[in-house]
Amino acid sequence: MSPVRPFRCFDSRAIVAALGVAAWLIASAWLSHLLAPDSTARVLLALGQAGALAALVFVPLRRSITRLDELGRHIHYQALAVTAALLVTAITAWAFLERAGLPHIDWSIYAAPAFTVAWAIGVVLIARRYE
Amino acid sequence: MKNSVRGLRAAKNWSQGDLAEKLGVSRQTVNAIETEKYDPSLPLALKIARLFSLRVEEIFGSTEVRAPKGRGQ
Repeated sequence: MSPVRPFRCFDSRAIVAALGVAAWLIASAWLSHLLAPDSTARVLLALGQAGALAALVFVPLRRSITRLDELGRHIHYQALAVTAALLVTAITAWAFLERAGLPHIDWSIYAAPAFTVAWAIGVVLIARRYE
Repeated sequence: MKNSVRGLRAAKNWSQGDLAEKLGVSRQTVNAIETEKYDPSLPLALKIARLFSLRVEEIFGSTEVRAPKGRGQ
C-alpha cells in the first residue's frame, strides 16, 4: 500500500508566496489602524490586501495543484469544494447567530486561516480513501 | 469499477512505478486504480488501453485479465 502525498505539490515558491502574503496581511492590518477611517489610503490598503489574497490563490496555489496528476487534482478539488461549502455555511449560520446576540466574528481575519486548515484536513481525509 | 490493470502490468513484469512513468502519473494513482479505489479519467483510461494494446472495455468493467494482441493467447 502506497500513501498518497497530495501536499508534495506545494513547493518552496508556493510556501514563500503564502508566507509573504500572510506577512503583508498582518502588516497591512496593523497599518490600517494608523490611517483615518474612510481615507483613500485605507481604501488602497484594503484593495492591496484583497489583491494579495486573490493573487496567492489564483497564481501559486492554483499552479501547484494543476501540476499534480489527475488523482492529486481530484483530491484537492474535492477538498476545496467541501471546504468552500462548509465555510459558506458556517459564515452564513454565524451571521444569523450574531443577529441573535452572539459575538461578532471578523471573517476578514479568520476566513482564510479557517479555509486553509479545513482544506488541509479535507485533503488528508480524502487522500486516505485512495491509499 | 473492476479492472484488470494489475494483471496486465504483472504480465509485462512492470512495477507500479514503471507503469506510472509510462502513463505520466504518480505511483499512488496507479495503486489507487489497481485497488479499484479510483476510476481513471477517460483520457487516462485510453492511455492505459493503448499501452496494453487493448480496448478500454477489455480492461475496465471486467476482472478477466487479457493478454495484449499479438501475444498468442
